[in-house]
Amino acid sequence: MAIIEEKIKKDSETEEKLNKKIGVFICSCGKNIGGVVDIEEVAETVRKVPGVAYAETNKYTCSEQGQRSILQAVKENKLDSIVVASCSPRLHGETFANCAEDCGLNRYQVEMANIREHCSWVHQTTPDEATLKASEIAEMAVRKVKLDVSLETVKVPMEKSTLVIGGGVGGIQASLDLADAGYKVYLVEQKPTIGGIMAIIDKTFPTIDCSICILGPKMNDVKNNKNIELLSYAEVESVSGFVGSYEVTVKHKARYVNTDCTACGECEPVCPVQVPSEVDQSLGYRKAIYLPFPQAVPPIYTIDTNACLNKGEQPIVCGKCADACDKKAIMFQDKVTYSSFKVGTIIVATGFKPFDASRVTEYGWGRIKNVITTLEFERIINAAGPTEGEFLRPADLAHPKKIAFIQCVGSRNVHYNTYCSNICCMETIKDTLLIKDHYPDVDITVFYIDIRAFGKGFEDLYTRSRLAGTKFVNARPSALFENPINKNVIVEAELNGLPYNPEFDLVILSIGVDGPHTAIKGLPLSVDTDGFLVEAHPKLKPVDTANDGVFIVGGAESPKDIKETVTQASAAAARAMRLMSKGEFEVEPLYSHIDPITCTACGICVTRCPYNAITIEDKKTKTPAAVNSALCKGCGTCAADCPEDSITMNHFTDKMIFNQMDVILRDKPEDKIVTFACNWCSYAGSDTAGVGRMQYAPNARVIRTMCSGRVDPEFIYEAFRKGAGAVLLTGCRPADCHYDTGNHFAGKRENKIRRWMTKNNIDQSRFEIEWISATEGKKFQNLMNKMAKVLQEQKENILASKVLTIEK
Amino acid sequence: MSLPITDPIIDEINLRTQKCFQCNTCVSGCPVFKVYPEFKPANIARSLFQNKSIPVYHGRPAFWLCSSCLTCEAKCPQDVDITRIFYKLRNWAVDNKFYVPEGIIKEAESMRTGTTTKISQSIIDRRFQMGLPDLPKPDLLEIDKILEKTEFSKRLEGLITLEDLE
Repeated sequence: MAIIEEKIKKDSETEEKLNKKIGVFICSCGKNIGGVVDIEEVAETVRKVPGVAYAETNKYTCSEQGQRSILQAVKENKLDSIVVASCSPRLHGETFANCAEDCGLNRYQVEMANIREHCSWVHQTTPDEATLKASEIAEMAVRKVKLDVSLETVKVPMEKSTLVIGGGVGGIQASLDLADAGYKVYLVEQKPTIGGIMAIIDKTFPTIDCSICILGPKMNDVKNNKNIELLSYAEVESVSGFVGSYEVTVKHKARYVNTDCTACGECEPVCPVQVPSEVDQSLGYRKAIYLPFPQAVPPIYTIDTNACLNKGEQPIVCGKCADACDKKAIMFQDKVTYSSFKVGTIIVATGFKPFDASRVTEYGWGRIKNVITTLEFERIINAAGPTEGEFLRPADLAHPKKIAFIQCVGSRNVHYNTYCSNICCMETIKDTLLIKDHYPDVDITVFYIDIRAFGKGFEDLYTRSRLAGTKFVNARPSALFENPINKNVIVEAELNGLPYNPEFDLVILSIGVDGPHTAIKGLPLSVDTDGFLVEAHPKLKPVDTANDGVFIVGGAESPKDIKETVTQASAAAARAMRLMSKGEFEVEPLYSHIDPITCTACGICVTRCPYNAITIEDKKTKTPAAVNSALCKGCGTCAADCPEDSITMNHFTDKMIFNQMDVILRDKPEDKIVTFACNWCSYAGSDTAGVGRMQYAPNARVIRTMCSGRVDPEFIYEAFRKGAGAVLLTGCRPADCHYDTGNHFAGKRENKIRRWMTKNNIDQSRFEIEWISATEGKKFQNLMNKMAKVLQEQKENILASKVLTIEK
Repeated sequence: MSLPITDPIIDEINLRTQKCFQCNTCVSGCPVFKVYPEFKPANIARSLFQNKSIPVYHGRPAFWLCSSCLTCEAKCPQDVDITRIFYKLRNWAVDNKFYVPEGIIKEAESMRTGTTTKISQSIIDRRFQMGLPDLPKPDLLEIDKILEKTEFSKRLEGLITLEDLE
C-alpha cells in the first residue's frame, strides 16, 4: 500500500508546466476533412490561441511522413505537448500517444481533436459552420492539453502464487494448470478429501467413463505436485489486501489423525460408532473414524468428533482405533489451527449444491421410500456404494423391474429455481443406458418437459437411449403416491391425451442444482439472486469478476457439467497467469485522488465505487477516504457525487472540463449544445454516425469523459449559466456501463438537475439524457437534429436566461 | 369445436397464457381430465394464446368445466394462473352474453329462494322424522334488496344458454 501512495504523491507533484509550448497538427485526411473544413483557416485561428507555439497542416498525419513531421516540429520548437486535430481518439489515440513517446514526450501530453467523425463527415452541406466548429474543437483540445500532466503507469507488485478455493474437478484442474506452469498454488478444500461431486458419482456423460477412475489420477497429481500445497479439511477464514498481494487466513479443522496415517484401514472395523454416510447420501453408514471413499486425497483418515465417543476431549472413553493403529497416527488431542499466506490471485471453485428434493412435497421424497434422487441413484449403482453396485430399491432391497425418471425437479419452476440446471437431462439419459446395459429387462420411462441434449455427443446419447427401449413421455407428473401394500410408486400423469397413472417399483427424481451463495470475509464477490457468482461480462469475460485478480470457475458460477467446468478451470488459470507472469502488472494511471484535508469521510464515494477501490479506515474518527490506485478504473463517479469536491480525476479534471466549456460558450452560446459523451459507448455512437456520414445540424460540441458517471451536475449548471442553448448527458445503455454502475448514478442525478432548471426558469426540453450504444449512430443523429429544433423553439427562453442572474 | 374471442379481454388473458411451456403438470393432476379427458388446462391455454379461441366440450365453452380444485394453479411451474383465467372468462361471459350453461343460470336464479341449492321435500321429511327443528326461513326481502343493488337480474338477462350452441 505504501508503495502505491508514494506513486500518487509523485504523479500529482509532476509538472503542471505553466508556460507549456503546444504544437497543433491539423490533418486533411486526404479529402475526408480537407474537402469540407478549411484546415488552413483552422490553423490560422489556432495559432492565435495562447500557448500554441506552432501549428501546421498535414495530408495524412497518422502516416510515417506525418509522424516524422511531428517529430521534427517537436524537436525544432521544443514543444511540451501536442494536439492532433484529425480523426477520433478511439481510432488513433494509441498511434499518437506512441508517437509522442517517440518524440520524447509523455504519452499523456497528447490530445486529439475530433474534426472528422464529429465534424467534416457529418456537416458536409455546411462547410462554413464545419470550419468554425473544427476551430472550436481544436481550441478545446488545446485548453485541455494545457492542463495535462505527465503520468506514468502504476506498477502493482504481483505475488506469483494463487489461492484456489474448492477442490472439486474445477479447483483441481486450475491448480494443476497453474502448478505445472511454475506458480505456487494453495488449494483449500473444506471436506477431508478433494474430488467434490465428481468423485462420488458413478459414471460421466456422454462417455460413460467411470467418474472416479478419470478423476483419481488428477487427484493424485495434486497430491504429488511440488507446487501445490493442499490444505484439506480447511476453510478460508478471511482475505485482505488486493490484487497482487492478497493476505489469506485459513482455518484448519481438527482431524485427530496425523500425516503418519497410511490409510491401511485397520481402525475402521474396530470403531463401535456408525453414523449415516454423507458420501452415500445417508443410504449407508460410515464409522466415526473414516475415509470418505477409497481414492481419497489426502489418503488420511478423519475422526468425526460429533460421532466419536470421545467428543475430542478427555477423558478418553474409547481408544479402539488408536490400539489398532500400527503407525500410532491417531491423536487424542488436536485443535483448530490457523495459517496465513500471501497470494497474487484467487480462483473460486466452490461448486453448486444439489437441490433439496424434499421441497417438492408432491413428489414425496423423504416420505415415500422408493422415491430417490439421481444423486442417490449414483451411489446405489456405484460399486463402492451402499449396495456395492447392486441395483436395489430402498424399501425392501428388491431389484426394481419397472422404473421412472422425473425431470426438472426444482428447476424451470417459479416455486423453486427458475433456471434450467443444465445437467439433469443428460444425467438421466446416461442413467438409462447404465441400467439397460446391466439389466436389459428393466422397463424405464422418463417424464419430461423438454429434453436438453445440447453438447457434443449428447444427442447421440439420447438416440441410443431411445433405441435401447427407454420410453420418453412429454408430461410432468402432478404428484406421486405410494401403494401401501407393495410400496410401489404411482405416478399421476398424462399420455396421448388420456390420464396415465402407471405404477413403478422405483421413481428417480432428476434433481437440479442450487447456487452456493459463497461469501468469504474480505473477498469481494458478486452473487446473483440465485446464489451464483457473477462474471465480469457474460460473453467476453466469463471467468473474470469485476474485481481484478479474482476468478470464478464451474458450478459456483452457473450449473454446468464436467467438460465445461474443466474448460473454465483452465481458462481461469490462464487469466491468472496473464496477470502474474511478469511479477508485476501495469495499471493505466487514470485513477482518482482524494484530498485528505477537505474530505469529511461522509462515505458517499465508497458507495459509488464498483471496484472497492475506496476505503475509509476508521469511520468513528473520520479518517479521510483513500483510493487504491491499483483498483481504481477512473470512471469518475465518485468525483461527481463528492459533496466537498475533494476528488480529482487524473487526466479528466474538473478544470479541464470547465475550460473546454469556456471555449464552446464564448461565442453565440445560445446556438451551442454542450454534449457530454462517454468514451466507451455514446462517444463511439457519435463516431458511428460520422462513419455512416449521417448528416446533422452543427450545434453540438462533445466533451469526452471516460464514463457518464463523471458528469457532475455542476458542469451542467455552469453550462446553463454561460448561456448554453442546450445540454446533453449521454452514456452507455442501462446495464451496459463499462464501469458497471456509472450510468446508473449519472441517471440518479436527473431529478436534482431538473429541479434546479425549474428554479432558474430553464425550459426542461433544453436538457436531455440519452443512453446511446456504440452502434447507434442513427440515434445520435436523431438526437442532434431533435435538439437543433429545440434551440429554434426555445430561442426566447434561452436568451432570457442568458440575461437573468442564474442562481448558483 | 372452438369459439373465437374477439373482446380485448383475450389480450389481457394472453399475458399469462403466453407463459405456458406445455409441461402438462396441470393436465396430470386435473380431476375433470380424469373424467372428461378432452378437458386439458394446458390445451385450453394454448388455444387461447395461439388461436384466441376457446374450445367447446360437451356443448360448454371449456372454462365452465373447471371444478375449481386449484391443483393446476398450485403446481404450475410458470405461474400461468389458469384457474383465475377461467374465473375471469366466466365473469366476462356473463357480462358479455357469451354462452352460459343453463345449469349455472338456474343455480344463480335459485339465489332468489334464499338458499344456494334447492331443499328437496325428502330432506324436510327426514328432518321431521329425526325430530330436528325446522330449517330457518331466509329473509327474502333482504335478499331481494341485495340482488337489486348488485344489478343481479340485469346480469342474468338475455344470457345465451348452451342449447343455442351446437
